[in-house]
Amino acid sequence: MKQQKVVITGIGVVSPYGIGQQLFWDQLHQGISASKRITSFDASGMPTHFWANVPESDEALTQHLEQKKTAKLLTRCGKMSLIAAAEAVAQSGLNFANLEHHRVGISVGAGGIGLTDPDVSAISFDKSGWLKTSELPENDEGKYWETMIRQTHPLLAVKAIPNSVSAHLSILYQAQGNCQTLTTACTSSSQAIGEAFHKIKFGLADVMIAGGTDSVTNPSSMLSFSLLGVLSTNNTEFESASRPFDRSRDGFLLSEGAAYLILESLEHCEKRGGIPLAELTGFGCTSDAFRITDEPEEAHGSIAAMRLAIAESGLKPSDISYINAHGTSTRMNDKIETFAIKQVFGEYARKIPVSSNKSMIGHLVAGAGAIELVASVLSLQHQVIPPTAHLTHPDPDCDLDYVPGEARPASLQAILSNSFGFGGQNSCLVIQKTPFSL
Amino acid sequence: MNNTEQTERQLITIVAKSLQIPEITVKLDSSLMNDLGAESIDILDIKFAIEQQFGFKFDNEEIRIMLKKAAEEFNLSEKDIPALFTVRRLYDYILLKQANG
Repeated sequence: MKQQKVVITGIGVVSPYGIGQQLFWDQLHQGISASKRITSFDASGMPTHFWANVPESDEALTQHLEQKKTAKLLTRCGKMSLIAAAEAVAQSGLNFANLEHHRVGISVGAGGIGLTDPDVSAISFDKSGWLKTSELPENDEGKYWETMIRQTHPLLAVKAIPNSVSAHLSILYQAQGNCQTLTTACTSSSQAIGEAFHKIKFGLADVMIAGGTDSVTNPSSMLSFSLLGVLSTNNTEFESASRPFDRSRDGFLLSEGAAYLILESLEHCEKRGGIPLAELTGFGCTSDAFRITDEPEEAHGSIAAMRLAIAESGLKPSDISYINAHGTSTRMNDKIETFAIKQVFGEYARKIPVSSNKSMIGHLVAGAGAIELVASVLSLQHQVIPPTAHLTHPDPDCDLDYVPGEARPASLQAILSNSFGFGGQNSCLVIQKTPFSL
Repeated sequence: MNNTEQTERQLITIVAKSLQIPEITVKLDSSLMNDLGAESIDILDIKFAIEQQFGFKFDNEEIRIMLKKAAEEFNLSEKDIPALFTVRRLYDYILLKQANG
């Protein structure tokens, strides 16, 4: 079977800075932190008092939707996804009504889909997403469930199903081909993009809308991540708390958002006169098969994923111009990712710039891979590497060039984007500048 | 505004809000599905909003019987039920529930 070249023809984003790729790039390349003090609930009893939420309220997000009737079926993840995908679709110039519908697919990386959304129930959740047990009858289980069945919104199930986002995108853009949802923690959206890339490469689709979303800026997500000990608790320096590869790093910054890309076969793109922003050339996906949250010291899974992605691209490690790191700002990830990069790149590891977008926008969990690939496309377009912000104390275990503090102009030809997740998931993508790039 | 007029206004507001359409387009004789574009999940949403506003629980069996009787009255089949499921039927049902306390 003839293999197709795959190009990216549109990108869209809702980030912790707000809506749109221009705002995202303006802030990101200047190294501006999106970390904010929590104001939506009293977080004083939590170990962490800050996060990087999207500034738009639910109502404000609804105002950006083309079809407002769908708002009641969408969590924040759904609304952010439809807004980000619409931006990507508009940039691509594709008219989805005129495409061969069965050759168009959707691939979404998603996580919990906001089961804590306050509006799934009339009274059982208060404004911050906590179950209001005070309004429920005590010591009477029958009455408890009677109250719950009366007061819980009947659309809870359709809002909460993991494939809600991909289904809405499929309906909106009449994508009647493969419509999939991947849930692999922090690698979800990177893997979703990789799988979509292969669908087109191996001739199973012409166009895929691929990306992902997550919203973990809510009390219950904060509770569960806090209990795992993976969040920064640097409340006094909350704006610079996310500091990947820094000696004083103490955990990641919870975040939310959505990012989508239009993937298209080069053949399809050329036929319609589309403009590629970049070529997607490699995808490596592995599992550590080790432990749920610990990464193996020898980093076999992440090393293999990087090598697979580079090999599929037909490149040598020394052809990669920049690595958009997973770089979570946890003690373990940054040390082991550094080690893994050294294993893959050998001597060249000391010369290749590596930076972490999470130093500014925090960790979008299931949406992280997609927003970081969008950042990588923008890096290629602008020929600028966004910095690793707040990296001021070098760590002997993290001794590569992390582009600390300030963005750096560079001649970028190929970018490797890393995503590693709980469960031992590893997903890496390679994009390249095309002769047709803007 | 008397009580029944107020009920009508409240119902129209609920339907318009759920379907994100102007209140002026919602008439008592509009079919929820055929005229106003509601799908089955919209009906669930509207019923829930009515329950919250008027403080009673829908009995789906009562609704089913009401629509079946209407179909028989007009000599229509079950496939025509969406056309018969009008805003007025919801309005009549609310008044019935209110009358029964």
